[in-house]
Amino acid sequence: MADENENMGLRGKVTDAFDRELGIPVEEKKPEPQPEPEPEETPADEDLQASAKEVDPRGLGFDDVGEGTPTGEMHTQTEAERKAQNRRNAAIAFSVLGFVILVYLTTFFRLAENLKGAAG
Amino acid sequence: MSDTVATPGDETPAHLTASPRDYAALLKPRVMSLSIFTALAGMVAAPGAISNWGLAILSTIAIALGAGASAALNMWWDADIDGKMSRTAKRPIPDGKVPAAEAFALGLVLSALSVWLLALSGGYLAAALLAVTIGFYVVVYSMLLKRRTPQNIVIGGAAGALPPVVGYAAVTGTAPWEAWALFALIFLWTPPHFWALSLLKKDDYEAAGIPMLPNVAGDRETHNQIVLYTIVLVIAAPFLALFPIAGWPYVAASVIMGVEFLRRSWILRQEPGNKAAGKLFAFSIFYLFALFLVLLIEHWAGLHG
Repeated sequence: MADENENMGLRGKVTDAFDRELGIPVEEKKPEPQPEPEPEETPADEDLQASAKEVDPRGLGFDDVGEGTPTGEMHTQTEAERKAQNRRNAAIAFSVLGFVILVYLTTFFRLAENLKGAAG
Repeated sequence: MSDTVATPGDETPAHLTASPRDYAALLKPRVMSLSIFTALAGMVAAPGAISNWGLAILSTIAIALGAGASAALNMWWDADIDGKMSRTAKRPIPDGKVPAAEAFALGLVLSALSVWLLALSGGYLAAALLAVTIGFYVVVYSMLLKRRTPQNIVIGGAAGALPPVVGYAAVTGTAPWEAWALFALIFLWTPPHFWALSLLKKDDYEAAGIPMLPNVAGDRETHNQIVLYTIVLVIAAPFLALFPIAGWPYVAASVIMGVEFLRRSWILRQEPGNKAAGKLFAFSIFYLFALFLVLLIEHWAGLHG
């Protein structure tokens, strides 16, 4: 059905073009007013807060349900923020490295003990 | 990637400039140091010399990480009441420096890693005991007891008393009666210690709605309970020498220090006030530290048992 309407519309445009070529007056059709597209629904702050209350009534850190909603606002980090982020990244990297070393040492000591036990 | 989605307002949110130190503060380093100390005492007090100091040190680090993990989870759960108390208002979450969800994540990850590390270095019993310690502190004390009953620190004190048992299990693979005697010592010490603090911070606890004993039963009853628990502690403490983990220097120290502990708690009862409560609180910390230090020294000197 949709294809049929589309074809009719195309056929009408073609015949109108021919009519104009032949000098036959063509009734200009006003474009039908299109309904304005509804704006994408973004939850209002109140709604977000209400749903956050449902998710996390005591507000213990899970109240960021609207966090993923794009607001269009962008923020360039300040120098202080960038430095702080770098420090945190470095701390995470050193912590992971430190933990890997701890596991390595544990394995080393455990193996050494087992070898000593097996030998003795 | 240098752009982030902004939050409304012109001021930079505190968590965007948080330093690693703010995250380290989540682990309550001072409480952690007491756990390390008592766990180390449990290790050293265990019969026989520690055969592998490398594994013992790694186990101590794992216990410290576990203590830090439970502290981070406790701060996550108590963020709302911490913000209402002057003593805790500057903690990283209420201060806005660390988002609560990040503290939760840090606590969970550290819990898993610490238990795993202890399973490798100290064995499964020690790891299981550490997991129980973390679970007890977070679920039983923080979530179930703290806001419900004035007995919160009496029962919840079990979590703080477990590190020496964990330490003992890490080097021996067992948790016999003598390990639980160390547990009992800290368990009995906890109520007078925390009730002295709660007398000092009564208004804070009132503002946060935490039913500590002074807020629920009044100062007089709290003083009586402090004296009562101190008597039980002072009588019980020397009996540690019945096990081969303590010797006569420990008995002498526990009697002398116990008498002083009792004297200070009696002074608080007779002359109530912040001064007496503060002195008792400070002495209670010194008391536990000194007794465990004596245990360590006599083991190194070969005077135990």
